[in-house]
Amino acid sequence: MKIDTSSYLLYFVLVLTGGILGYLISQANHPFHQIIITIESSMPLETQLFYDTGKNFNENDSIRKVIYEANTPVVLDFEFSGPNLFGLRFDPSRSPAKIKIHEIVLLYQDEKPFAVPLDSLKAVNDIKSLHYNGETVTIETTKTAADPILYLTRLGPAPRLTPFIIITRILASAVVALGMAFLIVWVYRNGLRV
Amino acid sequence: MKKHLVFLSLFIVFLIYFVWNSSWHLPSQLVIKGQTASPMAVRVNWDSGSGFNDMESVDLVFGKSVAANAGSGIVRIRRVGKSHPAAKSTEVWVKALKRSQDEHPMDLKAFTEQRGIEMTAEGYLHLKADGSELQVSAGRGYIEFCFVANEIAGFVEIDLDGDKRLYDLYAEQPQDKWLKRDRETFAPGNFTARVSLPRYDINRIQIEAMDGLQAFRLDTVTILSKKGELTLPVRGKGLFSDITFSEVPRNTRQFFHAIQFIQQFGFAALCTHILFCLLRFIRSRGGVKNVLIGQKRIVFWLMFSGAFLCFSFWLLAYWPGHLTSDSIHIWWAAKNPGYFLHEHPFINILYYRFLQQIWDNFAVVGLFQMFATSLLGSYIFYNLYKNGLPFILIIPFYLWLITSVPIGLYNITLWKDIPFALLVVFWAYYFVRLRLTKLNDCNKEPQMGFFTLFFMLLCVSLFRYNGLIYLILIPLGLAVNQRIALKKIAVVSLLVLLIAVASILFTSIMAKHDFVLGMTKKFTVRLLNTNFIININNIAKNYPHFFDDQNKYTWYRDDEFVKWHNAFAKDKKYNDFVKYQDYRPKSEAIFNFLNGFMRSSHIRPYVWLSWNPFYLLYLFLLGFFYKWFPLVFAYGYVLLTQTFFILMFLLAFSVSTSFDWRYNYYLFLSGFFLIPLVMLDIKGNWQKHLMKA
Repeated sequence: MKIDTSSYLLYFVLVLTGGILGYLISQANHPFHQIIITIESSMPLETQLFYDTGKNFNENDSIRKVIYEANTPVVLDFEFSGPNLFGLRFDPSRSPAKIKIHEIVLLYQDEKPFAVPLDSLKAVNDIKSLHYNGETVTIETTKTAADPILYLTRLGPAPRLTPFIIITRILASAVVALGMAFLIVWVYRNGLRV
Repeated sequence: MKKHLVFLSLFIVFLIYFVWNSSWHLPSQLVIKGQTASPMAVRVNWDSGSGFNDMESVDLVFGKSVAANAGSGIVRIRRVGKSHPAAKSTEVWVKALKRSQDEHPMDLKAFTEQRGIEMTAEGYLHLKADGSELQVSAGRGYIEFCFVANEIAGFVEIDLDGDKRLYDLYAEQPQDKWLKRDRETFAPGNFTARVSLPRYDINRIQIEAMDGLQAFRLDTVTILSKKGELTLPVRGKGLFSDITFSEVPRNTRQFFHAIQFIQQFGFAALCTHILFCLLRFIRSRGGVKNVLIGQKRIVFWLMFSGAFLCFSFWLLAYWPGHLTSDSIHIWWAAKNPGYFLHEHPFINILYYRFLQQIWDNFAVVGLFQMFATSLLGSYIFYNLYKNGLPFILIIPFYLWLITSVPIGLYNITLWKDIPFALLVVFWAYYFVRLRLTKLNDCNKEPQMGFFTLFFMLLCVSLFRYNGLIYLILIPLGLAVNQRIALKKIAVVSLLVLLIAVASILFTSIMAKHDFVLGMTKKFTVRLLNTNFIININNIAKNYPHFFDDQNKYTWYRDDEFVKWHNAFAKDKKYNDFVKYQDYRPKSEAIFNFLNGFMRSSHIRPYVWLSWNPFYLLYLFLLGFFYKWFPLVFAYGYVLLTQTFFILMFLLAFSVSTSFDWRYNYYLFLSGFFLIPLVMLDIKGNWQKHLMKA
């Protein structure tokens, strides 16, 4: 098929548009994620989950949840959105307490649930003991605990917006646009023949 | 053969896309089963892509409903003596009490006689010690409580006839906490709650207790429809105060509805036809390059791009467009497969339905109207330029058009007045073109095929009911101009007339009220009962004030307006088909600039360039001097007849012409091209004079 200048122009404009659209989509997509923690505490307390989306752990990227009922398993459902997740930090209380974690499940959008191995929790601050019995993990904070901190060292298929993903999306959009350009040129060439 | 194959392929591509892109869901219910230690108010939210919000939610109570009127009607407010882990005390203060039957809040002094209650210096009721109880008579419908929430406030229990619920009054920053209890009471224990789910796609469902202190256990959460029952996975075993389901399988998706499919068939045919017309146009002009730059068309493309760019800023500022209750109603009807509203012309519903096939977002209407206004405006200016009007004289009017506040705002507004105005201006300028070809002794008529003629006449007649007058005016004008075959005009007119009559009769029968017929009858009777000369006199008096309504702020928007719109959609249950959309501006900087620009456009003297260019109304009258202003006459034939009709109609019904500015939008839009037309007429007269000389 002989291709003239106008066809080249059309191809170029559509591929460029497709590429730009692909880039915009890759930047605008903010999937939702859930962290579900089944927890039991010896007393009512306030917990806080920090998520690092590339800005390190900070107060703005955190969620607080209160356990009002002592000695009863409570399910805490934390939700946040973002294209990246680099780390999770769980502050189980702001005061001395004995806490039992039954389960931690990470639910990333479009991924299967990931059950965090409880033996992978890492005590960072104000934690007196951290004991895993094969089913649950029991945490005891220090008597003067003001800010007990746990790190989740296993995050499963955590979302990452890598340059590879961005480039792949740009290329995919450009290919779709190129296909459309071929279709339009084909229609233009053949559609009006008598 | 190949041509037909291509046509068919394209048609199928469009049809498949429209069917695929317009799916909906069968009615389904979320069924929640569980237990609760005390009844609790719960909100079920769903997210269709814009996050959880008030519009996409349902409030309900977890617990077993207790028979009404069995209680004492006394509400007991108790200081429990417990508090949030971060609270420094367990205090409870009541700031206000208001019952449904009272106009004002109750006088709190009357309660200070109760044991354990004191009045504070601020005028609040203080429950002095843990266990203190305040008794209040319940409202007939409901009672509202305002508590002080701060860092030393504790839990409060509100007990209405045994329905005891706990609330946490702790807050890091002092604030009011309003609670509401109606007379319906519930008992703790097992519960089954049902929520009707919307008919569009949802990404997430959230169940949350209105107060984090209240917790429930879940047995099962299922989605029930006529296709069966699907269980949602409840992750974690224990007490919940909120839970979110990020997978919502429903098995209820539908693609095919006979009436909807017939319309999609028509839409696909229309798109294919338009695409082919476009391709044919490109080929007839010698290719893409010639279309872009041949015959100085670059002027058109530059004007078109500039206009579209300027108009798009308004959409970015007031994303995703502007709606009123009427717009929401019609959008909802258009989303409802196979459904037609009977209070509005059916073309209006088809218009939204067609655009929804392309993109199910309010913004699609704004984008289309911006495109259409840019296209029509740029075309008219370009055509005037081609007909000899110097470009330097066109530029100011083009700039006036693209920077016009009303045009920018109306382009993004979901009212039928906008497409109607575009159609009226299209027809008005079509008559100008007919006149131009006659004046230039050009035999090549402005082309309009059978289908285009039919389509444009149908749309202008039935987008608004006052367009019905064009069923007579346009065919008559075309016949007088003798540029389109009489047979073609007659067949098209008859077809459109038949469709208009059938749709109006169908409307009257289905809606069980005769809006159009009733109004026509009333109008005719009133018209016959009034003096013709007085009527004409009144029209003449009111005509110069046709654009006067600007102080009423027909177009108005702020946060409250948006909240009202969402509440309206929820209240009318339109949220079963109408999704919530994020109304935040796409650019704060553009919003701040344009919002300020919009507000100052109502102030004198700017208003005479924006909302009230009253001087143009006098210029339209130049058309009466047909000999010297043949183009203005042709233009005014379509426009002034409508104005005359509207004024006549309004004066027949009420002495005042106080009505929505938006009804005049067609005349306002046409005004931007009027002065260039007058100049072209003057130029033509001058050339004639020179030739004679």
